[in-house]
Amino acid sequence: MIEIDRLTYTYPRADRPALSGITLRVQEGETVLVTGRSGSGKSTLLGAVNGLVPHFYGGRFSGRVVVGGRNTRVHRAHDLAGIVGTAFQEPATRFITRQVADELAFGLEAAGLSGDEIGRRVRATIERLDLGRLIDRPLDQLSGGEQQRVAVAAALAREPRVLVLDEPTSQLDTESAQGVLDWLSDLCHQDGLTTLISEHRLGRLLPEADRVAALGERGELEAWGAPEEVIPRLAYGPPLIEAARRLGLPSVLSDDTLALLRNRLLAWAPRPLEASGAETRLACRGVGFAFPAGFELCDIGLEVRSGEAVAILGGNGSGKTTLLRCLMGLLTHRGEIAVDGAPFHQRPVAGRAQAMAYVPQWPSAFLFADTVRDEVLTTLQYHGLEPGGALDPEAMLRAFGLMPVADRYPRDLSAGERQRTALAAVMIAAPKVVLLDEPTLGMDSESQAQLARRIRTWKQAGLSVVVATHDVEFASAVAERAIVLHNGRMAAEGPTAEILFERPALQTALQHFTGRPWPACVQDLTTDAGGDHADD
Amino acid sequence: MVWAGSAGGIALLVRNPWYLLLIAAAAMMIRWRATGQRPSAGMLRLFAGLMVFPTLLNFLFSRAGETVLLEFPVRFIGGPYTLEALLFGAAAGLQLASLLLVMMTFSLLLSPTDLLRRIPAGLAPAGITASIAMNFAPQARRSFDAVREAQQVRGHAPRGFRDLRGIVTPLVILSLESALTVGEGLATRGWGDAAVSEAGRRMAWAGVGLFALGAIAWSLAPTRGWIAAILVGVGATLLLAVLARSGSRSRYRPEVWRRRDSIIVGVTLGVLSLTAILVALAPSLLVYEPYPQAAWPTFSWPVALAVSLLALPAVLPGHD
Repeated sequence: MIEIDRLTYTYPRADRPALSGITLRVQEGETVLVTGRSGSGKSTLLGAVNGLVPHFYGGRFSGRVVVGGRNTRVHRAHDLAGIVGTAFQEPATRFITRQVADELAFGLEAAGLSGDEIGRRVRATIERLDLGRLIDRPLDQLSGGEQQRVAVAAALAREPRVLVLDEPTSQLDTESAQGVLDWLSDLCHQDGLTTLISEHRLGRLLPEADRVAALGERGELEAWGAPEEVIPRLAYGPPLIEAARRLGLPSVLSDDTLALLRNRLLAWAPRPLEASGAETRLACRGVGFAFPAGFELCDIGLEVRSGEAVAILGGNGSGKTTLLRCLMGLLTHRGEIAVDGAPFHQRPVAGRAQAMAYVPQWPSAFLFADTVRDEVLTTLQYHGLEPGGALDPEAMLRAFGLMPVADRYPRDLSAGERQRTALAAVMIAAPKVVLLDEPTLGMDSESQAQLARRIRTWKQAGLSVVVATHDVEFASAVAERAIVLHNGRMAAEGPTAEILFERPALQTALQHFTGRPWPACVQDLTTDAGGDHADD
Repeated sequence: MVWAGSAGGIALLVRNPWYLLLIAAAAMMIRWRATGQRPSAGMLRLFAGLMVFPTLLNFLFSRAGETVLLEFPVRFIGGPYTLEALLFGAAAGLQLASLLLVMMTFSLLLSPTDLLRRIPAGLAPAGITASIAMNFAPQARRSFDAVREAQQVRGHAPRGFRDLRGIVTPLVILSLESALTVGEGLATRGWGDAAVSEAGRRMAWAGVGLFALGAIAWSLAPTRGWIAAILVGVGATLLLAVLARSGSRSRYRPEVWRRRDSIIVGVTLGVLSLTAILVALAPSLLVYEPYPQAAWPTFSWPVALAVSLLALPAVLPGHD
């Protein structure tokens, strides 16, 4: 169904290829998981299959890509739309119409089908994909999971033979993501679709994949084959494989290895709760905000001590981002906020910014200077601070591993590098509290691990960290305590591992595997975690 | 689309402040009816701002006119500053503001998707471009908020107009990125895939080219309007021929053409035709010329009545 032969592609004005010498063949009905680190070319490879590469972006293209018998050098993306359906991450930014039914019909109208045929196919898609309850809803009022389902349905309305999905669950909470993946899996098997799907979090998708294409850092095909052959060869992997590696067990998870792993994990003693910091750093009481559309964040109270990290958990639309924006003063909120006892709720955003650092979900909107170095200098300039002493931009760039890209344009960097740039740009002001909104979005596992290490360093230096995330593995790795929001209200508060374990939809892979709250994540399996390393 | 095309065309042809004010009022009434909200103070400020800028510009840099208001004994910047230059600048500003109001009403009532669906099949790239262009303004607004917010959380206290320098570049980049995202979505959804022959596609582009040439001819030689008219006429014929050959795209939920729509289209095209005839036969009725000596602009009740008919969509009963 898909033949890629010696594909090398370089974006316009790029100094190295995004894809280099890729050769692979995908049979009809196969599901292929495309994986690789940030910037390894996963989206570019998907773009080569749906025809956006090279026609939409330009650049240098060599080799051959044939999809359903059509050579993509000859056929453009709109010619291929009849056989390749595409759904991207952030579907809301790519919706073309305003209502669900119109969105499903748009591609059919573009194909020049008759009105009767359009109506028949829209009805069939709605029925087949069970979207009846959404049909007349405005797209901007759907949840993230519902929007992603509509995006996939719109891609399938033309009855394509190939489905291309670019990180379809990256923005969804655990429950919605699993719901979308289960739904997709049924759909692909039922229709015999050939599916290419890129994703950072391997654990969710490996059971569904027939093959894995792993891209290397230079856009080359690092490994290609069945999941059980490819995954053990990668430096990263899903939590169970990472745990096995950490405990010195084989990466290939045979039944024997799984049994051994379970025994070792069950014998792991709980980490004693860390002694809390001496003083409360961030305190808020009765914080709330009402949106005109109806959603309301109600009466949130929270205390974060010096050297402590707290995770804010909850499904999409539960109020996590709203709470962080209230803390930062970006919304005119109710309630009281104090840092080190000093009232903050009357201060404007800029007045809170030196004590509180905030990095939003998509750091792209955060970066506006010409170079990475300028981003760091700009913050100092805004705060009226002179570089020097503790405020050393070069040291900050080194600390965040940004020296190799210090003179590059920030928005051209990979997701992980952009995140590090945004962090360096706020941390240069030496804040006391760090607020991170979905910091692992679009990040590969190595970048996530780096960020987790960095947060631990901040805590050791006495900083307080608040992380809003739907990534339960990350939350369990960095935060001692967690609060759960539901419909804008506090639903629970407590130690992170227990909070996650109590809710089946939030359990980490290790908790699910062992049926115990502890250990919750791979990072718990370290010698300094205070665990009893009794082996099997 | 017909209303916006006609009202915009008339606003370009007319330079008489009375009629321009009527066009602006018609656009505001239609917006009021569509949104159910009175014209906001922000919109009135925008309207006034668009008038003030050309007024001041012309007042400061034009030396024509006989009624001298100010004169300083300073070389180059000493004047004379005339009343005629002030009035001419104000008329130009009013024309600009009226045209913008018409276009704002147009973009309020017609979504980018509606526009896409009405573009002939052979002009798919133009459809994508138009959609990206229409998405640009709302995206720019969102990007502006995002950049300002990013600056504030990094310690920057807003300083009004002085912030513009630091905002313009990221604003343009963010907006273009968003617009390209929409373009990606359109391409992968098969926009431009309708069955149109290569000959049809060429004919459509030739039609667009002739339209553009007509506009250039009009701006270069307004006294020989017949050249522009011929070019535009041939261009329109070619585009209609492409539409007839390729057929319009089917719609999942086709819009219903009502009697009200026929009335609005007929009346607005009638007002546009009348204006075009007046431009050719009695241009002084539509143009305000304060030079060399200031005078009140002429006012003709029949012309004012005709231009007022542009407010018809705001008063006719029925859905928008």
